[in-house]
Amino acid sequence: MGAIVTRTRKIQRARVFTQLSVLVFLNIPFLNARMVCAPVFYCHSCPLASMACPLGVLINFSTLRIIPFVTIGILVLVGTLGGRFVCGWLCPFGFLQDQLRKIRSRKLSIPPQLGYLRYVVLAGLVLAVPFFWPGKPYTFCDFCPSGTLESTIPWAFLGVWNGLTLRFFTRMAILIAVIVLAIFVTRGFCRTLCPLGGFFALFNRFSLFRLGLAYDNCNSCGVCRKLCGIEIDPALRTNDLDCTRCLDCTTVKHIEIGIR
Amino acid sequence: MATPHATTSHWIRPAGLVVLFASALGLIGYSCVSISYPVGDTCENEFGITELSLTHSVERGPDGSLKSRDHDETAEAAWQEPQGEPELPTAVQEERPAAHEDSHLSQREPVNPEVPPPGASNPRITKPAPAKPAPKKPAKGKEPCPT
Repeated sequence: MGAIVTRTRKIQRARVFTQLSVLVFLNIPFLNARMVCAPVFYCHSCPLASMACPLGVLINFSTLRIIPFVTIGILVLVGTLGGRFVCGWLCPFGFLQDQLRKIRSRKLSIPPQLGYLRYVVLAGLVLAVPFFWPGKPYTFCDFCPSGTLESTIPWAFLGVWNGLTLRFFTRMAILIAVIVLAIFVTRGFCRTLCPLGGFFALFNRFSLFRLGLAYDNCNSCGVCRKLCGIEIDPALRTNDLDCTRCLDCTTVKHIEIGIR
Repeated sequence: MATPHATTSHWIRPAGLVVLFASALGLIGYSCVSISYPVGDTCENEFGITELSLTHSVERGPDGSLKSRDHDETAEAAWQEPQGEPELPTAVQEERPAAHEDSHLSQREPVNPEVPPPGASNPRITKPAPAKPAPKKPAKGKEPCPT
């Protein structure tokens, strides 16, 4: 068991390092690559943002009634390669939730059916609302907690904001609710509301890199289930839609990730 | 080595992956090579449209064509709006979307520290908003935007 804990900590340290590296990379404004989206949940209205947010691009193009071929191609490419690996290892908002998870509190379970909300958000707030009501302030970006944290608040400190409006309070309330959710439910936002996570989840079962379980060697000890923060039993639901490929369960020797 | 439990035929998944991979690359390549959109008098590829859309500098006109939104007018309006300055022309006010109220100004404002933020008193910043670059005119005898 001690070896498993050691391997788990190594994986977690590697994951934190990768997430921080991506966060730094996304905040290098002189890169000036905002014409291309980074396949992570990060607001391009951040003062230092170097790349575009795929959800923002989808919303803007839906408003203009143009198909974003490059953005869709990037998302499909990334999903095909690793599924929700992006969520577990690259996404800055996922990194925030991973840190909030460490706050000592009772962890709550949520029914997996809530995951379908992600597709309601994706189809409604990301695609349908800007397409049918262009210019109306009811798209996902208008409620996005990542946008509030990375754009609204920094710009407010820089003196660029409209004051204490109803919309400001609404956005702050949503952000606080998501933060509270992340404290009590591991990756709560990712599992229930993130439309990008919902999109990548579709690729989890058949992506190029995915988890594999050695059924012949599995003795149902349950260690992998205890290591999983998403309340998934990797032995029963390998490559589940909610799996963020954090790889904590791979410290158990019967579970591996690779091309399979 | 772990052997996953086979639930589908062995060839379907690799074939599907190849199709998805090729489709994704095809979409990206097709957009880079073939697609361009007329925005006013200029042509923009998808990357240009992406960048323009981030600052809400492009919109659909009443006739359905893409048109650029004047940066000077946008910056000036952004200055005036929170200070209760004299009203903007009605047409401009009606056209401006109310989206992204709190990040709206940040999206409209280019990432340029020399552009003074609206409503903020910062005596150090005195330069006016950057002028909109002159639109590129198509060469004589050529279509303005081959599609």
